[in-house]
Amino acid sequence: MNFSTCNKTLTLILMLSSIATVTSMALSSDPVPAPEQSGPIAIVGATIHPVDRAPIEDGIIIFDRGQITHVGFKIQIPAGCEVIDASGKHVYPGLIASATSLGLIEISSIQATNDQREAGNLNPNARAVSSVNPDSEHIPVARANGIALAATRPSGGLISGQSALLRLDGWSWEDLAVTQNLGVEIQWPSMEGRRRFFEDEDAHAEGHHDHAGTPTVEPRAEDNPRDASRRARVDEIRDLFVQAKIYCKSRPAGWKVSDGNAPDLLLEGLRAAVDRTCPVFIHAEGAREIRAAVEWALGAELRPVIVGGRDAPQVASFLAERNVPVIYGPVHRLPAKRDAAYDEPFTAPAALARAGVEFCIGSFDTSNVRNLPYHAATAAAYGLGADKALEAITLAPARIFGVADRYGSLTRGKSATMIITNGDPLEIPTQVEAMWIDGRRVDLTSRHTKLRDKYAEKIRRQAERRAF
Amino acid sequence: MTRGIHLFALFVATCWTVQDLPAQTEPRKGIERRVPEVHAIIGAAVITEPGEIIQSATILIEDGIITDVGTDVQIPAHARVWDRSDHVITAGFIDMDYRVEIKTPEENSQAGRNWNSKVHPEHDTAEGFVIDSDTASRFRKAGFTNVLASPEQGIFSGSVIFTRLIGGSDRRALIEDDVAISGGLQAGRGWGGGGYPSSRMGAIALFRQTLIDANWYREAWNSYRAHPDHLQRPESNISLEALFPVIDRKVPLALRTRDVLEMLAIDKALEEFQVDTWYYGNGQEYMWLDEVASIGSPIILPVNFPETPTVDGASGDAGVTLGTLEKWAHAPENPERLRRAGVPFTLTTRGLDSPSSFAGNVRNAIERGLPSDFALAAVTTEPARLLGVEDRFGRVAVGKTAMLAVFDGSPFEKGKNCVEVWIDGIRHQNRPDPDSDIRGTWQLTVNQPDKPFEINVVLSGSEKSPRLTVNFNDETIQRSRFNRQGNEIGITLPGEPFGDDGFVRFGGTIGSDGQIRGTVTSPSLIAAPFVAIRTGDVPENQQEAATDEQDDDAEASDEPPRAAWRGGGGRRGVRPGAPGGRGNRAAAFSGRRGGGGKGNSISADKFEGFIDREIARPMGAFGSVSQPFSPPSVLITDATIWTCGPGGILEQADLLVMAGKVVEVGKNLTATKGTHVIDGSGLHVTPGLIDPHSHTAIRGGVNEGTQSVTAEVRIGDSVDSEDINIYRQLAGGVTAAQLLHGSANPIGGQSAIVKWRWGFTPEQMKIKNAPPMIKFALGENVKRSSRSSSSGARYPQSRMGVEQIIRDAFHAANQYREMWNRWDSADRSTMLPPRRDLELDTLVEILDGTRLVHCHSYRQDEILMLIRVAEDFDFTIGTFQHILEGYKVAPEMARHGVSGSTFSDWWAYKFEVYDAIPYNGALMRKAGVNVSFNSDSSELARRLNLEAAKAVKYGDVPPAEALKFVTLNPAYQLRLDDRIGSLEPGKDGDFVIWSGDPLSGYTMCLQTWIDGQRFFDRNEDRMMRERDKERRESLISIILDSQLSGAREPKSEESGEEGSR
Repeated sequence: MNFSTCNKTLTLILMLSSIATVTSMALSSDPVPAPEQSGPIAIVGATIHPVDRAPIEDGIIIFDRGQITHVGFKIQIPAGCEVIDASGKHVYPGLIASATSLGLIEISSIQATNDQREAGNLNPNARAVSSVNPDSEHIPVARANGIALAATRPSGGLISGQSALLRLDGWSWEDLAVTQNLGVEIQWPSMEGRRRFFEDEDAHAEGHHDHAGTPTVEPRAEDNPRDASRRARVDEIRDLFVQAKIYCKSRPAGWKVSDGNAPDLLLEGLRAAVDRTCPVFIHAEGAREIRAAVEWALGAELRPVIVGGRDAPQVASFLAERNVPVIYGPVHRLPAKRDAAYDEPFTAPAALARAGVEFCIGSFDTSNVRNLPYHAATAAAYGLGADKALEAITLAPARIFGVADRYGSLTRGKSATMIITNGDPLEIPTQVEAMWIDGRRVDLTSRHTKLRDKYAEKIRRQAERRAF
Repeated sequence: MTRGIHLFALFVATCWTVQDLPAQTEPRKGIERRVPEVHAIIGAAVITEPGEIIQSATILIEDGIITDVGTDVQIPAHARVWDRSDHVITAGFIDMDYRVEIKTPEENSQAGRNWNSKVHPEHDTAEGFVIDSDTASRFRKAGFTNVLASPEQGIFSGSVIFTRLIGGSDRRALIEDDVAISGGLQAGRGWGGGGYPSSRMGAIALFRQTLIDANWYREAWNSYRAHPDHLQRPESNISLEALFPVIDRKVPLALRTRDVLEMLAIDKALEEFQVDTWYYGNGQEYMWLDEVASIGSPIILPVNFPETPTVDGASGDAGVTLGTLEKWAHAPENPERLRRAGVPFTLTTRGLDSPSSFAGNVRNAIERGLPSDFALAAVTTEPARLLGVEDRFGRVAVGKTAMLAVFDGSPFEKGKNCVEVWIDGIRHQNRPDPDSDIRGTWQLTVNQPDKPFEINVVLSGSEKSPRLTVNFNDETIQRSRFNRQGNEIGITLPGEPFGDDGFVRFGGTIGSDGQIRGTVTSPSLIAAPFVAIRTGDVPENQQEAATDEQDDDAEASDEPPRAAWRGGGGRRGVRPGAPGGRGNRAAAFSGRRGGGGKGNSISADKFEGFIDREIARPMGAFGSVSQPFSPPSVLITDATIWTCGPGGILEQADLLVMAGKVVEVGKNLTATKGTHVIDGSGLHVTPGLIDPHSHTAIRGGVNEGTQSVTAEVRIGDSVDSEDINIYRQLAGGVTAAQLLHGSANPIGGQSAIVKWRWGFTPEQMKIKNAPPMIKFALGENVKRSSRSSSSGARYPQSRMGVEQIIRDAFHAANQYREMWNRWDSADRSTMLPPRRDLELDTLVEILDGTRLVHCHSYRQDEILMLIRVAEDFDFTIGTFQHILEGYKVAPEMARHGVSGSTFSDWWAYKFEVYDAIPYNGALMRKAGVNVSFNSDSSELARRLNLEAAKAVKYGDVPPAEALKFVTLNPAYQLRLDDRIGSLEPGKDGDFVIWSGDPLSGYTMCLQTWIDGQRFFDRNEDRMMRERDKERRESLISIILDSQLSGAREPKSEESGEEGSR
């Protein structure tokens, strides 16, 4: 990358800091958060992909105080502006990961490092945002491949808690939070019994990644759990929302702790959802579950968003008609049913697009959120097309999260959250070479690059020794 | 025995004293009966053996033996005569698969027995054998007189015994013991708890080792007996001794199977042994029919055909797979398909809720093509033949034991029942003699002296519980009640019409003259006598809604009777309208089809032609009904060809594959006649992708984690060629894979190296002569899996212990090798023959360098440790699997010469992978290590090409080299790089056609070829989806058609218990 910048000091600082990381491994591998944008920056020469309109070749994008001030070509560059020559490169909005548990899960098999799951079934008051570890090693790893924003979600139970939208750089969770209460996570009970599960679905479904002491007994056909118990679980969700509605009416928002009269924390947790200031994210996979969940949520005057949505293509016209968005994913998964077409998950986003469903694509992952663009690429290959695939990980999630006025596209007035790449970010070999979040130039090193650098040195020295 | 039979029969005919039931040792109670048991059963149609029928025959039984059969039989004066006109008599049925629960052998009873609690061939099933009276009675009601009983559990379970169904703890139930030794692949819980083995492959390994042990045990003892002074006495083991009759082929092994692949796997495992086998079948034999037929063993087939699947919107019929529908549609053809393939079989009730559903299900099979003679043979003559007791059982003939089943129609005929069986000449009644039919109009006269009166009574409706209508003075009396107990009847009427206050109660007895006499009581009457005389049949206008039974007759009359019995059909000596009122129903064969158990409530003509359909392999969606497209040669022109060989990437090049091999890669190749030419312009071609770490297509457990060392276990024993993920991976360009044992123990099992030949058998999927491999594992899994064990902590618990376990195993292998070397030159009188140990054999192969280790590993310490251990034992590790910290010790790996097969970018799913980095592959490569990427996941395996692209992204590996991470490099790790992994002349014609650059996320796999045969084609895939949709819809239509056409749910006719499962 050939950055010609007016600010040589900055370049020097960057160089120094990269030397420092190689030599002092004792430091935390988590990079230092970036400082506020100190002056206007213009990126010139690159192909700009604004997402909300056609790409601009040899374009110019200028941003100041964290906001994009100009996008186009042949724009007058104001004096005193740092100019970055990115000829031959590409500029894209920072990618938005819509389904992660970033900051909540560090090492999934070690409970002590996990904070995404609270005890019990009903936890609408549990807030993901205040448990996000800003120093999680996963954050820089995701960022290094262009992920600028990520929704982090609690999981488990029936109502798992409140998710948050994060920008992936900052000192504290308050710095990271774009939206503290993004919505309430609901896990819709499955209508498929165990027995059917084993008949249809893969006995060898993937998951744990190295077959440690996997159950060695043959899959057993267990009895179908009674439909009644599923209904009871649905009723648990339903009842809590009915209570919340009454509660929120009788006890207006804006009360203070000093007022005395302690609140019901569970029902308070649903206030934003009941007031429709935030959506409910309903995790549902089967067609029947999706239909049932949507009908319930709309009846309860909520704003449902379907998350997962394996069978969403089967009910696509229904979702389009009911204006319910879908966070689809992962694209890289096995078809759930034995008879399904092998490419069923690959073609699902295209099917949603054709039916006019508002949707975005998620990777449903935490340690490999960086692979989000490749989920989109597979959807692109199987009918969605490259443009819509890109939109599905930028502007589309921004819309669903209600932050499209600030994020998701390279548009004048929006946040300067963008990446410079040497190619299409949906292609695996493409490198993300620089990233700005809200105009702040963030560090793209990570635990991974640091370990690489350390041991590349060992290999280099060994080779040297052998050469002599 | 056979030779003696005629003499024996003659002897019986002239002598009273011979009893087939042996004398009992129990002291007699009371007065001994000495009257000879002589019975003459007359009037019945006797099926002496399938296909042979004698009308109106007499069977003479003397002391349990049939002494005469025919139409011209002299009935001795002292014989008791049984008129069985309207009945059909066959030999009593024999069920060859009755399972008995055997208690877990006591811990302290292990002395002198086999070490493994699932190996108890010495178990004597006859000891304490009891069939409870209820069970025996249920069997008898279905026509059975004998069962073969075997233990339900264990790998070697114990003796199979031949018994009579006399019920209770009668000591004389046993006919023959040690007919066979039974076994099965019992893993996990059950007999002997949850110890070794816990997997199907572990069970096969133990099965194999046990047979080896039995052979060794005999040899060792022979040796010891020959030289008792010089040799050490071998261990005593009655379990192994019990297997001598099997290895001497005196009795067969009777083996339980849960699916066909298991049957094929056992058969394969038995290749090295000379033993005879019977298989207890599983109902799926038709799915891999040719292979089952080639086994050549008799099969004891269940008839528990699947229930009709539920198809409706509310319960989501989308969840019912095509495979489920097809199994439902085709399973009843299983017996007929086996017959056509020439497989000998018998039929069993096993798997049915009750023997009462047996007839209905056999009828189902008959309706679907099985000749009824074969069905009958499968429960009479065939079992007798297999058991070697044809001289006494299976036929109704002179000299045979009197084992008879008496039916009120044809056996297996709808609505007909077995009314009694005869076991050793003793009659076992299956139901009480029927009450007489009293339906009709009756004139009831009360002979009250002062005011006699008459009432008209009509008994209509069903025979069993007729409906009462009472007319008095031309008015119908409401609220009347009729009841009956045998010949006692009662009628209760309100007193009002008779000018009485309360109720009038009649109680009477049906007399031998057909009149009913009794007394009537009411508030004003005290035991006034009455008499009822039958005046006629029920008037037509009073006949009510038909009962099931009547309905059957009505339907039967619509169609000409079909011959249910060859040579006997329709000519059975049944006289319509015979006395007793039951004759009507027995009048004709029901022409009605269908209506068996719940499993088949649908008329058989809906399945017309199904029997001749090809069964897809594997059954269900995307199964193939034909061989894959295999042109004599294939030429792809103008494509971008990634050779993965020295040629690199060739633009606008051609690839010629002929007879399954790559012939040439180059420009302007010409096609010969008959060549399948593919225009490759704009397309890319690569070698078939190779997944060096897969757990796809393994059935019955990936781990045998119950012991620290399980080198004897073979994944090849449990390859699942029916796994849909095979097809899905073909659709991602994968052609070959190493199926690895899991990572639960330091030394795991042996790999299977396969090509994804979808539609073929497990054996056909395996790559012939592939070098042997084995799985090792280090680190967290090995430690962690032991902790979950209920039986205390299994060694090792730390990385320290892992090293020691491995070292110890190799020391043992060394000793073992030396022992065999000594044996080769030893004086036989000075040394016992060594025991062949499959575990140590395998470890010796590793030491010899003929078997390569693939070791699951993460951390640099353990990687280095294993390298040093191998160096101490003077062999080289083949490949480290996962090896996520390989980049930290890459130079050491390179020096040792070990390869690395890693994940492209997985990390942080557990602590030992917190330092995993996506640059690992590129860094190891840089240090000179052969590197591959693998999936370890059925999902990831679908896009290995994109995994390869990550080597470009993380570490700048050139694209052509990156693709080798999933082609040539894994081929080398499997030591198959001379055959697969690159497109070079002479190599296997395994290739993939891509829509574009294989490293691009926008690219799709279009076709996948193995050995010049096309196993995936995106266009064909579309066609299969349509084909499957059609098949599915047509089967669903059959179900719904019958359910919605107003057809009532079939009622079960046999004791209300009919229905499978």
